Amino acid sequence: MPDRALEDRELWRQALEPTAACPVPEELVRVSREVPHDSAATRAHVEGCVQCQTELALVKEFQSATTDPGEAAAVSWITAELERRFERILTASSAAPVAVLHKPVPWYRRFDRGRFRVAALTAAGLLILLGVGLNLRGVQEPELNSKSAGGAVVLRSEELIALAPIGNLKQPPAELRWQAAPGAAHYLVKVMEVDRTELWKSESTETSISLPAAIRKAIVPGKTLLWQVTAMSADRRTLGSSKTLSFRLPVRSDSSKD
Amino acid sequence: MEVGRLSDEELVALAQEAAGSPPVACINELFRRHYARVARWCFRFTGDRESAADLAQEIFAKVYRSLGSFRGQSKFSTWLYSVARNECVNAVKALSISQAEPGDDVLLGLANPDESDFWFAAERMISAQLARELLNEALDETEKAVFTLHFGRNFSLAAITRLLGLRNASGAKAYVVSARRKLSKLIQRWQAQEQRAVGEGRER
Repeated sequence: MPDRALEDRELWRQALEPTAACPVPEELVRVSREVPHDSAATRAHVEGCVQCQTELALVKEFQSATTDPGEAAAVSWITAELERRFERILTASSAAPVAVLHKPVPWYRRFDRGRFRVAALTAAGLLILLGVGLNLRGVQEPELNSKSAGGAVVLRSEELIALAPIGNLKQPPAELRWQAAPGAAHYLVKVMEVDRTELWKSESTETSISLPAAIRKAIVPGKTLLWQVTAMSADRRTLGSSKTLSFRLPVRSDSSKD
Repeated sequence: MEVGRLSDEELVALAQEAAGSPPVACINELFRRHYARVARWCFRFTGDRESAADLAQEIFAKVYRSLGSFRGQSKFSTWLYSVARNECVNAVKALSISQAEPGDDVLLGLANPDESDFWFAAERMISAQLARELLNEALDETEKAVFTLHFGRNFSLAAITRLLGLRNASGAKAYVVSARRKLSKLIQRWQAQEQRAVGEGRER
């Protein structure tokens, strides 16, 4: 009874949503620390509200959590990445930081301002002249080589193309399909939840693979899943990966009761 | 100006004074203090570092754009939490995270194999308010948090396990099972009371 199961979940979701009486996190924290007379009603609400108690637990976790050893490397990497990105964004964007922070500016736009424009055009002109000069001297361009130093084929990005399933589906997919990649001896495929939690992975020497019953069962209406395929060489070296595709079965609008 | 000696809230105030082009040094210092906190949160939410970095960037960009709305009535880190939480909820909505988690049927069956229609029974008895009271009465703190995040906000069990720092082997899943078991018992008690009340009404 998938329709009824969805309705049941909807019922619980409604019960667990914040209500108009639920304070914002800032007030929630204040109320949890102080006992002023004017917050008595809010305190009473919080004590009886699962939603507010959960929010409070999350705030405390956010503010006081320490990094576990298992996540330390990832957190360090993300922190360094943020420092790098914002250093670049804030430094490059002091004239219009809000616009820049709204969407990272492509590198070439940084030359598109005031005094940079003249310098950039001059530099571009010099590079063109230099390139023409080198060409006239008969220097051969470096040979394009799609092989790595070890001799294995390395796929250019997007050279491995995942085909299906993708987007909204009418029925649960029976298999995953992709295009053959040059040099690939076999392919690794994985199906993930939207937060990238891996649900299933397998290997195939073909350009398709059947989905097992357990995964097909997990493809329920309204749930988005992701999948990706990676091409491997005969000596199990990674040649390249496809884009991550998403697919879902739409929730039926005619979900009448049984 | 020694920005390192200023509090978060003082840094925000300085940035607000220079609305439109806040001092880069203030923003850098403010953000730098909280990168690790937001990185940890985002990593626990997404489970992979690349997505976490993108989400964290969105959060700080949102913070930057919204600095003017910070009134200083709470700690900056609490306000930062609000922004981070909202971005995560929006991410869940944008990705159309489901109303169902794979394996839930099995999960629910394991919790109480004798009662196959738990959700239906709940549906008959429940108004939203009654459901909230029921949850508050029956569940412990962790079960409440897991149940709310999973069924109320559609967070995946894996994300909940990481966000709440659950250390048991099966993480949030175990708390859903135990919560459901407790709720089943409570619903059964409630149904028995209802039937008794109906019977007494007929006798009168």
